[in-house]
Amino acid sequence: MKMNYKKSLKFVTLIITSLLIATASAAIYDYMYLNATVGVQGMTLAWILGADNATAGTQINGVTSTLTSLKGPPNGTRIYADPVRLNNTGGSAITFDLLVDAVSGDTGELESIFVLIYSVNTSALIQNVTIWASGAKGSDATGLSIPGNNNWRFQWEITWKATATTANSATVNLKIGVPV
Amino acid sequence: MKKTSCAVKLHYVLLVVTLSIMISCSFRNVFGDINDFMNLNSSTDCVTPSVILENGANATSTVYENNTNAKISIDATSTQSTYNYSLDIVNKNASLWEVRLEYFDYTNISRVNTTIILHNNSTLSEQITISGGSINQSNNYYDLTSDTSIHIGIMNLVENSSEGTTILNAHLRIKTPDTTTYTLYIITFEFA
Repeated sequence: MKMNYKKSLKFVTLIITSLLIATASAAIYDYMYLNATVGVQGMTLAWILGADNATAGTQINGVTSTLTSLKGPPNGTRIYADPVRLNNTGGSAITFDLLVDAVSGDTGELESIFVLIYSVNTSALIQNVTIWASGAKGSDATGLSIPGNNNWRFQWEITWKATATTANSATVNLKIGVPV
Repeated sequence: MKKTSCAVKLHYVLLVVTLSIMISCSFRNVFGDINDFMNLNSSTDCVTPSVILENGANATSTVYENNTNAKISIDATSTQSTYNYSLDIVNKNASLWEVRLEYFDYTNISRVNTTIILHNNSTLSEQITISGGSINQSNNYYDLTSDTSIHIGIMNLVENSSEGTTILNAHLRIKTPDTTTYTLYIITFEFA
C-alpha cells in the first residue's frame, strides 16, 4: 500500500488547526465566564441574620453580607458570637471554600481577628479561621461541607493592640467560593 | 478505489478524535474553575473602653495600659485575710452590662484557699472558689449598672504551703444583655 503523503499532510494540518481552535475556544470561554456577573441561580446557600445582628450591624443584600458595627477596645478581645449565619436551604450538603480576600486599614494596630465557624444545629466547632495574626493575613479554609438544611454561625473575635486608638479601623473582605 | 475509501475512513476517524479533544479541552477549562461567590465583609473600629479597671482601696492591683487588663498581687499567709476592694470595675457610660469571672489557666493552686467575689457593697456573687487543690467557678453573671462601680473581693485567703507562688489567670467577661456579644479582659491573680 502506497502512502498518500499529500492527504496525510492535510490530516496533520487539520489536527494542528483543530487543536489551536480548541485551545483558543477554551481560553475565550474561560475568560467570558470569569468575568460574567455571578448570579445565585440554583444556589442554595444564603446569608441570614444571627442573634447578634443588632450589635454587629449586620446587613444582607443578596449574596453579600456586611457587618458594619464591629467594635473593640484596645488590649481587650471583643467577641460577636452570632452576627450572621450561612444557611443551606437545600437538602444536600454543599462544599465551599472560605477565602480571606483582603484585610486592609490600620492593620499595624491590629493584634488579631479570628472567625470561628460553629454549627447551629450541633453546636460543634467546624473551623477556626485566622483572618489576621502576627502581622499577616491568614489562610483560606477549603473544602468546608455544610449539610443540607443546616445553619452555620460565624463568630468574630477581634483584638486591637494596646497602642491602638479610636482613630484606628480595619476592613475585612471574605468570599465564599462554591464550585459549580 | 480501495485506497481512496481507506483514506476517507481515516480522515473521519481523525476528525472525530480531533473534535473529541477539542470538546474535552473546552469543557475542562470552562467548568473546572467556575465558582459562585458570596461575600462577607466587615469594618471594625477601635473604641474607647466602656468598662475600665481601676486599682481598689486595698491597693493590691497593677492596672495596665488602657485599663483593660490587670494583675492582683497579694501575699497569702497562714492567717485568713479578706480584701474586699482588690480591684474596681467601672462602668463609664449609661449602658447596662453583665459581668463574670472565668478562669482559663492556673499553677500551684493547692497552695491556697480563697473565694473570689464580685460585689457592690450591698449584694455579692461568688465567682471562683479555690479549695483543697481544686477550683470551681459559678459562671453567674453580676449586673454592672450605668455609671457605677463594682469590686473584686478576695475572701478568706489562706496559704496551705509557703512554697512557690499561686497564679490564676481569668477573663473578665463583659456581656451586652440579651446577646452573645461580649468583651474579654485578662485579670491575673498572684498569691505569693
